[in-house]
Amino acid sequence: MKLSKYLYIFPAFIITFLVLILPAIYTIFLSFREWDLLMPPEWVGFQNYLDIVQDPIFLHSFSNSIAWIIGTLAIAGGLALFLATLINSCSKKARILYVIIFVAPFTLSPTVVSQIWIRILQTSPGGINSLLRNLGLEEHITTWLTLTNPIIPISSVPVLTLILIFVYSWNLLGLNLLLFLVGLQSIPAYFKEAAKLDGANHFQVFYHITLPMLKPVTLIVIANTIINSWRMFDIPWVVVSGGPSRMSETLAITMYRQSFNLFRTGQGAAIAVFIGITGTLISLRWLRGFAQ
Amino acid sequence: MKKTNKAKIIKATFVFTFLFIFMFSGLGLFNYSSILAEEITEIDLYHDNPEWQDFWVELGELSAEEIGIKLNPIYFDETETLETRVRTDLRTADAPELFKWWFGERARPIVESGMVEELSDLWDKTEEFINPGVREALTLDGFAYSMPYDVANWVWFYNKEVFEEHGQTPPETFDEFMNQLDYFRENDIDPIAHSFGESWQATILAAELLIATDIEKYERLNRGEGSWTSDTVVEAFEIWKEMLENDYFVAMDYSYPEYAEIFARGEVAYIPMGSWYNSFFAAIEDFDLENVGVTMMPPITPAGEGTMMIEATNMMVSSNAPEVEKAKEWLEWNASSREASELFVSELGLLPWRTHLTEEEIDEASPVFTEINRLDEENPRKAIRFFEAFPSDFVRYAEDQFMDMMLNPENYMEVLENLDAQVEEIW
Repeated sequence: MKLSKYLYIFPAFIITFLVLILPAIYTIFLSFREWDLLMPPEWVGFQNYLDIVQDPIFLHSFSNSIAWIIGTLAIAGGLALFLATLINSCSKKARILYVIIFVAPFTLSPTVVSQIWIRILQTSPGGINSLLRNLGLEEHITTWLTLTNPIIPISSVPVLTLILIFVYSWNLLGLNLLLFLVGLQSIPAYFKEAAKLDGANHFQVFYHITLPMLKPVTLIVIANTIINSWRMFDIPWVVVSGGPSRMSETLAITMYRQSFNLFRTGQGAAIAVFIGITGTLISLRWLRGFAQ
Repeated sequence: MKKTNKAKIIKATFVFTFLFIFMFSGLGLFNYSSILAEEITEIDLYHDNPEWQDFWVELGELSAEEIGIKLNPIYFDETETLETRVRTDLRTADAPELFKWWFGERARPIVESGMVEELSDLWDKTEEFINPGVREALTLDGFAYSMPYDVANWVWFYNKEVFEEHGQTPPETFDEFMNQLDYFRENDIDPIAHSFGESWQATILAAELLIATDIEKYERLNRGEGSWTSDTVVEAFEIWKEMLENDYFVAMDYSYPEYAEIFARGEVAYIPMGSWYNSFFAAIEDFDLENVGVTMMPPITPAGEGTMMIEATNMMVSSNAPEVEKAKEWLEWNASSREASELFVSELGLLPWRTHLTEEEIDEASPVFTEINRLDEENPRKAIRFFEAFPSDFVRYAEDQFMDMMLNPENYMEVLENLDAQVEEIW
């Protein structure tokens, strides 16, 4: 009997081991070596880790990845909660209509989303620039995909990263909105009624009743957003290949470039290990703090 | 009962016979196609040109008929994927017999790995069928490492209709060239199609200006000699800075396939590109190829005269592949076959690198080819394209630096200083 329960999970374990655990172990192994895929790997100890933390491109990608987390949480998280709260107070038919409108982008793959926004953002005949031209606002026409000036003077994160975060948030918003909506609908009405009877205003009801009861859903939304933002690759890669001049690279793109552009697979593996460990720590730290 | 048993036995016999045939045909024991057909050897070719796949399949079938060797082309959508696959497979028994690669410094790591075949014997047999100069381009430190895949001259395509409309002709001096660019800008025509939609595009103008300023300096820089902050290099980059500040280029996010569309609409005057770009013009509906002219950017100084940039992608033979000798036999056939040459021109619309076709046949294939050949003869000294002239580490770094300069021309000195620092690291 005891053995049989392990037998049930054995096939899934084998697949997980071969596809996930073994490659992860190999990546850690590779991170202590220098290998250009052509000649045999050479042991270099912790040199790869020392190299990456001194590499200005890695540090810039790190800043970009942090910006991705903050930006996506604000737009795809905060905005989703705000919209879900508004939609929740609408009639059933209106709710269904709004859900369809906002969830539709989520059904598209990141590659398709990227291609759509390339057509919108490109200089000519880009959607935005064409609209500006038609509205007589030619002075605002710009090359949206080459805006490498920093968002704020003290940071190196370019405006282009903010644009790409917006593109991803447009894709992700629908899922988060749906999750929040389901969470809101599961809150028993009598809690809010009781609070209103006690003289609480809308904000107080939201802050003291709604938000705490949305905690499980919020946890999922935030964890999902952090993990996906931290390992972001598709959208900045497809839209601008992490450029121009590597300005919009995320850690995942830097890892890819080191491994398959420059064939410094050891450094690429070190970045992969860094992404994996820090991503896990950030998520665990958030989950623990939130659970408390 | 007996009838039932007999029926069961017959049914079981059918089922087992079917299973037997199914199983063993899957194991290849009953390989009828090989029994009935002549023996044909298949060799693999790795490449990163999906648009060439049909051509390679057709060529492979032609070679199967003629010499019993069939090409099995395997394409990869991304150049990085091709590079990674070649590097990982080269050391194994699954190495492809042939793979596309680049020449110049880009070939060095592969050649120095000792895992590709030396092909001097092959060249001795086929040199008469290949354009002059190509053998030297595909030899590194005396090691003939490959045969041609495509050889392209770098020219400046210009729109003849736009030029005629504005009473312009290809300039003879560099001052005339700059004045002409100014003229086109003032008349709402983008003077030059140059951007960084793909990162390698960023290196084109840097190379063109360096070569036109001082070819020997450019070649010394290829070897890590000399300084990027020396007077001749600074002169070339100051010209580039002036061009950027005068807005002589198309929007920076254009990728190179889009140039042909705006060229056909008369919105751009010049496209500096390899001769292979002719196939992009040919793909535009209702566009007359007679409208495409070719010229060269005039030299900036006498030290840049008579030089043309070239690129030569090639095919190498993996030493660890199963059919090395067949691969060499195929390359020999490919170089010497007139049919292969005709197919190359007719299917791909590219300038032939073999000598089989007459001048009339080349002109019939595309009037642009005749002009390119004329320019080739007028500019006998050849310079390797930036992408292949420098080690790939340096190229990747330079691409990023040039993109920065294209966005912020005032940073040109910082760019040059950064390149000097990178030279110290790499060489």
